[in-house]
Amino acid sequence: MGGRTKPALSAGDSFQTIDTSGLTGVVEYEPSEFTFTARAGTPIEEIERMLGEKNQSLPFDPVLAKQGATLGGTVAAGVSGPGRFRYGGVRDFVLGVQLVTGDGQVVHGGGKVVKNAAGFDIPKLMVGSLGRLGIMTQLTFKVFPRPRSSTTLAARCESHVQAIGQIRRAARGRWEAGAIDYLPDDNTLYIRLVGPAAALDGLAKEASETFHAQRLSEASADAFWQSFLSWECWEGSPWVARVPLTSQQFLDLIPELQQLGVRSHLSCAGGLLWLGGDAETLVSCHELFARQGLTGLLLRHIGTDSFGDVCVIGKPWSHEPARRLQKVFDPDERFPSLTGCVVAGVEHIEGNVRE
Amino acid sequence: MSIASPKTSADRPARVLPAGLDQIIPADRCQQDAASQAAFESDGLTAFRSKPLAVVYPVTSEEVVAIVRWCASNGVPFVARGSGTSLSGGSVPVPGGIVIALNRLNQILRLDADDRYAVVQPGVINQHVTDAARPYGLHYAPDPSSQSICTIGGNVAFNSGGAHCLKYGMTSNHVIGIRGVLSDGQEIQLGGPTLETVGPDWTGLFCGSEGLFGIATEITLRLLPSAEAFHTVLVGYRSLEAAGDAVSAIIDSGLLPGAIEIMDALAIEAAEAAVACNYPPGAAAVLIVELEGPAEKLACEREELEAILQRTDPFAVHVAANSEERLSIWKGRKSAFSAVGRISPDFLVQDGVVPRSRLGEALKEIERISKASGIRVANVFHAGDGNLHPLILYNGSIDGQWERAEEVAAEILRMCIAMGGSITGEHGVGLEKKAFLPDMFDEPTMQLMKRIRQAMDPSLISNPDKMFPGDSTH
Repeated sequence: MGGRTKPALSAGDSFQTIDTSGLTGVVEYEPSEFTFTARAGTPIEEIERMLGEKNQSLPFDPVLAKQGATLGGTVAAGVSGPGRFRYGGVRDFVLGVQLVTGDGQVVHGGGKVVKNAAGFDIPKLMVGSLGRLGIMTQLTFKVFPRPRSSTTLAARCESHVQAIGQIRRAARGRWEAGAIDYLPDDNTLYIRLVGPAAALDGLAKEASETFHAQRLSEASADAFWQSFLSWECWEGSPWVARVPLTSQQFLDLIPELQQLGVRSHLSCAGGLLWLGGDAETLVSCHELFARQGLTGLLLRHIGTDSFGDVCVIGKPWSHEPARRLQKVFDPDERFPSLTGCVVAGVEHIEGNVRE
Repeated sequence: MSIASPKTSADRPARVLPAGLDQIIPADRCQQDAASQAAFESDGLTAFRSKPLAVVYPVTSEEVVAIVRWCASNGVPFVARGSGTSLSGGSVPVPGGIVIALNRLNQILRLDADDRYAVVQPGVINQHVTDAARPYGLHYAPDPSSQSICTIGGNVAFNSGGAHCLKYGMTSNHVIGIRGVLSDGQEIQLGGPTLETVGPDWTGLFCGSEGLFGIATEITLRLLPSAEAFHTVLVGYRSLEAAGDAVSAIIDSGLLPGAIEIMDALAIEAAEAAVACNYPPGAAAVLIVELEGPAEKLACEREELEAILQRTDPFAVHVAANSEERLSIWKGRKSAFSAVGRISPDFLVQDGVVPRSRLGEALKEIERISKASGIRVANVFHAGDGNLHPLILYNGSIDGQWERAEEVAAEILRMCIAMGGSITGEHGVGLEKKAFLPDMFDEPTMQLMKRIRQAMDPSLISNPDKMFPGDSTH
């Protein structure tokens, strides 16, 4: 447990908590190598400050930095922000990991150089592992130069269908958009362009015309992206979840979600839906996802007791190869199990609902 | 310690193929004749040879699963193989085993331009993915030099790289889903068409597992928008060191070029002999830098790059004026491996990685090793990410030259490890470098990796003998 910013991912009271928030500090930072190594409990905010001084950044836009999210928690949750679309996600920037397995062994996966194909890619396996395969103690990341400048365009769309059309066009376009997000509840599309300031004027002008968009002031743009990264946009939502989907699946899903009064934010150029809503909407969402064959990760739930230790909603994930590898990393079953964080089955939930 | 001896694989007794394979695959797609066995006995690293008992050519995923299940029931080891371009001996047949040739599983099953992904069979040629995506303004980023012949299945198994890894990453950064079969016949579906997933990144673990888990039968690839424009510069230097310093200057400027490559004089000589690439005459080293993106962005960045390069004391700077000139610059670089065949009867390619800031030091050390051994070494490397490709030239028909060449390779690998780098950036461990894996990973980590392998391949029949030293299953 690190900064406790994504509480739904923690196991229940039957487990002894290991607090990693004291495991902090940068071990190595070599700007010219595009890499750094830090202890897993190091706050993302501290890392971003350090990188910023050298005009570098973690391009996947880590979430909840200001709220205290740590490096280890970000990897374990496998959560990336809007920059994931252009540059890649946590999985694409984690290079090395030191972890303690369930049987107390300290192991070192990956390496400290930006390119490495030796051995199995254990660092990637840690991404999204929810702390159930090992306790990460140290991580090495690849970083990129920070874009010289950025500008954000906002466009009102007539419908979700039109918005998806615009997203597809922007994602394939020549502008090299750094992020493409869409707020279904106010039909607004946000396109972030990045690059040298002198180039952005021309690009932004053309993209604004193409998408009938307005260029936001720097302050409004920052406010929009920060509200998403800090989860301010989910204020008042007892639960927050994210569901990977295709743009067509989004179109199939969104009418029902809006009918339920669930709020949403489509990120990653149509490939990832973030949601939040009232406590009683969670079960309905779970059922809806299960029917659509979608699997979601619940990151926060307050007052939605029916989900207990469960953080995976919708269609349960396959038990292969989780079953095999959990035994490898945790032969004595000391960690909460990967299969245990899945809702027992769609039938089970449907049964509860019918009652 | 030395590189695995080329003789090891041949020492094992061949066994007889158990009955029943003909029930799964028709005789014309199950070849056991001497010619077929010989055709598949080695891969891109020709020093290792071992004849398979049979070569089978499945044409459907279902046949692959059935063959793997037959192998599991009969304890027959197998190696899945695409075009056999592995430079680490990764697709050399397993003694007493069969080769599952996936070349006929060569369909692009789906190309979704809206959500920007492609689902392909493992035998699809790397370049064909980009060819198919181009009409939609998309491309598949990983571009190994062998991209016109190597297959996606092999790229996935060995987590192949290419010239654009600094900006775009390796194969595993572009594979988002895998359907396949583990060696015990269990079918698996990892990831899918979306960039993000829920749960541990199983797809990421499967990539680069060197065929030790099983066989991927359907691979989902992320497609990226094609860059609107390129700015490719070929720079000639009087010394290798000056070229190396230029790389640092570019990186420190905050530019993120798509590619930064260096070739030394011997590599240039070979490339000129092979493809007449017209690199600056008399260069001790050439640097290739490529910027890419929207025209407006390139207009800014090219000025910045020119200013940086002017300060690095080049004697020739050539900017590609059009796409033909760009391709011509790349032709010299991409042909470098095969080109050294023109100046040496045999060669070994190494693939070590060092921290970028120690490139100069690494090159000096390679030069020292080369001089001390009397073995010539040509250098071609992905300078942007510190990935060296020393080409160790020898003549296998001269007694003792192979041994000296392998000792040079071993010394270079040890240097990479000592500098905090890696024994392989993109070719994989395979058969060739397995003795060095324990130098990179401590004992608990080696044990964990072996347990991962055992969990995925309980009978150790899926490409055994690769990656782990002293590993023998027969």
